[in-house]
Amino acid sequence: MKFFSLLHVLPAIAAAVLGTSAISASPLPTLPLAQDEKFEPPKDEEDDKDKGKGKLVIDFHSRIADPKLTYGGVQIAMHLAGYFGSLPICVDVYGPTGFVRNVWCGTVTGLMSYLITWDGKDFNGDWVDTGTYTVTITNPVAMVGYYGLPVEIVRLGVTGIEWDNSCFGTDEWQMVYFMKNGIDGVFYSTPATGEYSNLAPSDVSDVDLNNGDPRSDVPLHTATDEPVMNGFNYETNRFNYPVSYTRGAPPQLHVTVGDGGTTVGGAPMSSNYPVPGYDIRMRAGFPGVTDYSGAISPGDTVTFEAGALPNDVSRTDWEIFWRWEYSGDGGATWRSIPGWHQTTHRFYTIWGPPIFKSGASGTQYDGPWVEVADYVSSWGDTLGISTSSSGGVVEAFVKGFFGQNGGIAGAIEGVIYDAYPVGGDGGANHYMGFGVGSNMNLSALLNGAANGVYVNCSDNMGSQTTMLSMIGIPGMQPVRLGNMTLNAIWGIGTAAYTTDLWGFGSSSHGFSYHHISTRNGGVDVIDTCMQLDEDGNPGSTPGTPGWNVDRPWAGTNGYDQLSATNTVSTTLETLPGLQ
Amino acid sequence: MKQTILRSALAALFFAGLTNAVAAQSSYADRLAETRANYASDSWATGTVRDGLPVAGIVPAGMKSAALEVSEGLLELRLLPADAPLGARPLIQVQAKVGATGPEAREMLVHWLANLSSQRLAPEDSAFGVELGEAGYVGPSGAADRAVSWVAFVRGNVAVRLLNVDLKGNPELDLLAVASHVDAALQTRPALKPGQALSRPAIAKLAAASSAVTAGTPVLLSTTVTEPAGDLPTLTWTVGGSAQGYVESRGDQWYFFPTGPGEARVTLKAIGSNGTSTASTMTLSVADDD
Repeated sequence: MKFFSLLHVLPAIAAAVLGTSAISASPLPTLPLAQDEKFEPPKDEEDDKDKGKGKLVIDFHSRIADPKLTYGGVQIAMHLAGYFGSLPICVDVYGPTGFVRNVWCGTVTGLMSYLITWDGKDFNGDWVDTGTYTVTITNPVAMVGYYGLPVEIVRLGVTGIEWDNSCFGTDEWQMVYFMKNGIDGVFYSTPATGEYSNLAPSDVSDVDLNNGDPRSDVPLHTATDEPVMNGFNYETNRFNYPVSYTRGAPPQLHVTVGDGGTTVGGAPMSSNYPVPGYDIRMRAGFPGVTDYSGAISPGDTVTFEAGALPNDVSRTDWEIFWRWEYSGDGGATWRSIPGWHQTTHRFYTIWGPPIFKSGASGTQYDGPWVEVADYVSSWGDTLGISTSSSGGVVEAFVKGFFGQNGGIAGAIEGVIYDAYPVGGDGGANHYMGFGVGSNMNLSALLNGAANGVYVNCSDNMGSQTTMLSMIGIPGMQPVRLGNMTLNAIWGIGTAAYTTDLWGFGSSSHGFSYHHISTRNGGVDVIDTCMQLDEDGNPGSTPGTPGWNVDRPWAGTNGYDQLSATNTVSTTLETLPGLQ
Repeated sequence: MKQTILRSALAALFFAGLTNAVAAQSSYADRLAETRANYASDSWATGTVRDGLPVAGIVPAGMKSAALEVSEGLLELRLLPADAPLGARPLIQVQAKVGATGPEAREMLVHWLANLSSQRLAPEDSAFGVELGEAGYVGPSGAADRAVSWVAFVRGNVAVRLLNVDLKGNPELDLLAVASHVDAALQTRPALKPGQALSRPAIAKLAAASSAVTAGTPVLLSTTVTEPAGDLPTLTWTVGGSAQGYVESRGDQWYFFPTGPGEARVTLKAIGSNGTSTASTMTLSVADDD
C-alpha cells in the first residue's frame, strides 16, 4: 500500500506546484468537466464534513461507470470550500470483497478543484468485475472518514449496428461484393441484419476478450472486391461493411448494446444494469447531430436518427461517438457516464435507387457494388467534378472510366481498346456476352480485367450502362449503332487519336457495329470507348478531345456528325444483366 | 499444332480482301443475319452431335482449371498453370456452349463473330495451319509476331471460344495448340443417337430444414445430386428474390445463411462432367430478425 500511496501522491504534488486546477490520480488522462455535469451533488454529499478544517465539497462523482470505455472510469470532483489551508486526503475503493485499491493520496488546498479518476482496476492492475463499489475519501492523518460514495461498475458497449431506411422511405441499399477467395463472379451482399457486427460467440462475451480486456472495435472493411473472409468462408461475426444511401438521406440505425462481460479470470459477468433507481440511456454523436435513446437494458436494440448524408454521389466516413448517461430522477436530468465507444462507418451515397435489368434476380442485383460506388466517388474527387447533378455524375464517370486526364493515369482496370496495333485483335468482346442472354461480366472486368485488358465497344457499353444504373442514374440504355466509317478517334487506353484503328490503312478505319449508351432515349449519348475529335476537322489527326458525356446525337458536334462519315443507324436496346 | 505465321504474313492475310460486306444493319438481329451471310454459316459442315464435352479432358497437361461456371447455358472456365496459387491470374478463358443440336452451337459461333468490331472478317483457322471442328476462326493479335488473341470453333453441337487473357504478359502462348487439344478432347465424347438427349446431372432433392427461416440464423440444406458419368458434379448456388443470403458448406453439409428478410429463391446448379448443367430452385420465406 505504501508503494501505491506514493505513486499517487506524486501527481498531486506536481499539480500543486504547477498550479493546475485539476489533477488525475490514475494513468488515464484527465478530462475537463462537461457543462452538463455541473449539477447539484446528491444531498448527502453536501453535508458539512469540514471537521474544523474547511468544507470538503464533492462537486460530483460517477454514480455509474464503465471503466472499459475509452477514457472511461469513475470520476470524483471535489474542492475545499471556506478554507485556504490544506487537507490531506486519501481516495480508496472498496468492493464486494473488501478493499480494492488506493486511488490517490495527497493534499487538497483551497481555491483549487480536483478531479480524481479511478480507472476501474484493482491494486494488481486488473479490471474489477461489474458490481457495487464504494469510493471512500478519508483523512489519513486524522484517521477520519469524509465520504463513502457508492459506484456501480457496469459494462456497456455496442455489438451490432443495422443501418436502415430513413424516415423518408426506401433509401438504404445492401452493397455487393463480387469476389470470393480470389474468384470473381461470386457475389455477397452486406447483411441487412446488420452491417456492423462485433460478436464473439465462441468467447465468453461479445464486449470483452477472455482476459477481461475490452474487445476492440471492428475497423472499416476497405476492400472493395471481396467481403471479410474467415478462411474460405464468409466472416459471420466481426465485420464493418460500408453502407449505401440515396444522396442526402438521413440514415436511421438500430444499435444493439452488449449483454454481459468477462472477468479477468475469464468468467462471465453481468452488465450490472439497470441500476435500481437509475435509468441509463445512449447518446449517439453523429457528425453535427446528437440523438438519444430511451432507457436501455443489456442486449437491447435501440434506434437512432442521424443527420443527412452528402447530397451528391460520394464516399463519406463517419466517426460515431457512443456515450451513455444516467438519470436518478426519472429522466429530468441526465449525467454522463465517463468515456465513450467509437465506431467508424463508410457511406456511399448514390444518385437514386439502383436500377438493374428488368426481372433479374440474384445477389449481384441486391444493391450497388462497393467497387463501382468507390470508383465513381473517387473519380469525382480526383477530377474535381461535382457529382451533385446527374450530369456531373455522368461526366465524372466518363472521364474517370476513360482515364488519361486530370490525375487519372489510365483507363479503368488498365483496359485498352482491342485493336491490332496496340496488341489486341479485331475488337472482340471479352466481357459483354451475347447469345446466351445479354450479360455484362462486370465482376471479371473489375477483377483486374481478368478476361484480359482488351475490350471492345460492347464491353464499354455493358460497363457504362450497368455501372451508372446501379448508382441510380435512370434511363440508361444501350444504343446499338450500325456500321461506321470512322473519323479520327481516340480509343480507350491508347496513346493518341488515330485514323487507322486496325492498322490496315485508313480504308479499314471503321466499325462493323458500335455500342454506346444513352439515358434519354437516344437524344444524347454516352461513350467511354473512345473520344471524338472536336478540333473542327474530325476526319484527321491530331484531335482535340471531345468527351462523350451526354453528347447530342444529332446536330453540329453531335455524335453522329463527329464519329462517322456515313449515315449510322441506331437501335435502342434494354439494360444488360450482370455477372 | 504449332503455327508459324509471322506478323507480316498475317498482315498480308488481312489485306487479302477478307472484308466484311457491310450493309445498313441496325438491330442485333440484323447484325447476326449479316454475320451469317458474311461467314456463309449455312455452308458450315454439320458435325456429329455428341454427349457434351469432357470438362476435365479439355484441360491441357501442365494446366489446371478454375472458376467453372455455367451462366445462361454458357460454360466458362479459366486455365492457369497447374502450380499456380489460389487467386493467380489465369492464362486462358474457355467458353463453351453445349447445344442440344448442331445449329444451336453454330449460332453461338455466329454470336462471337458478330461481336467483332472490325469490318474485316476473322481469318479461318486453316490460315494458321489448323483445322478446328467444322468451322473455326482465329483472332490474331498485334501483341507479338505469332500472338493469337482468340480462337473460336464449332464441332457438332459444341461451340468453343478460347481467349488469351494475358496477351501482354504471355503473348507467345500457343492458343492454337490448346484449341487443338480441346477439339481432340471433344471427339472423345460418345455420339448421341438420333433423338437421344444430352445426359445431364439430376437434382433429385433440394430441401431446407425449414421453409420459414429467420435472417441471421443459418438453415441446413439437403441435396441429392447424381451425375450420369458417376463423377462428382460441380455445385454452384445463387440466391435471388427479395431476400438476401448465401449458401456455404460447413463440413460436408450445405447451409443457407439468410442475411435479409423477404422471399429467397435458392438455386442449386449442378454442372456435369460433360459440361451440361441442371438447376433446381426452392423458395424460402425469410423473416426479419427483429
